Amino acid sequence: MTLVLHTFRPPWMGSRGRVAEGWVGSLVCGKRERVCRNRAGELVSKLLHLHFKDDKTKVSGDALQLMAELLKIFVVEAAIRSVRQAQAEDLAQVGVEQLEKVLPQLLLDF
Amino acid sequence: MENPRLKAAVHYTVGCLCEEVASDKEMQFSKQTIAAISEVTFQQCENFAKDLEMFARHAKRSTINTEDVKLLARRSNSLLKYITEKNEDIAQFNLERKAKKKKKLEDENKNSVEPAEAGVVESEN
Repeated sequence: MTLVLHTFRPPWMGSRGRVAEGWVGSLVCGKRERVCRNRAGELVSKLLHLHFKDDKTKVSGDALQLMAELLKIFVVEAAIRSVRQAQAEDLAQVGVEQLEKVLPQLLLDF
Repeated sequence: MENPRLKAAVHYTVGCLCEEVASDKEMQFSKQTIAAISEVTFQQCENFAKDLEMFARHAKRSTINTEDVKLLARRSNSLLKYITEKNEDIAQFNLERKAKKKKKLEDENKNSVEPAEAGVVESEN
């Protein structure tokens, strides 16, 4: 299944080159991209370390940035697919029911 | 950071991302939907973390690297392609940043050496 993200490319994503500059590791969008990069990395790091079984497990800087990106995609895909579902059902608002319908495929894709 | 505060941080970030999607698609998200996405994301992190740790351990490493993350994204072809491209962008960006820092350091060293050289030339005359 194709990433809906590619079909519905939001305006804040931009071309590949610009995305790397402003978005690397950033989880919060908007003009605070650069500032948010370190905070996002910190959040992702804490989230991962919470579930590690071994104390010695570490995450490389690049892997951390990539994980932040992966998590961002996860959230955005969940959001966009829910929107698509709500649009298909002719609704003005996205409710939990729409999310529930898209969740199975989302979890299979990730 | 304890669980509740971490969850709150995730919730805030998820909220921001959903807000951007909402304004872009001109659709509103109910508060419950945002909370649900936030909850799912938090839980999915657990799966990701455990998998990443196992992948690294399987490769006899204690540090998780980008190869492990790419393995995580294997289930969807377009996702894997996106993550692989993103990885190249990150590597390229970091490379350029290092080169800039190195050049800046070299320029600073050059500037501090020059006055001394001028002094040597004068004394020779």
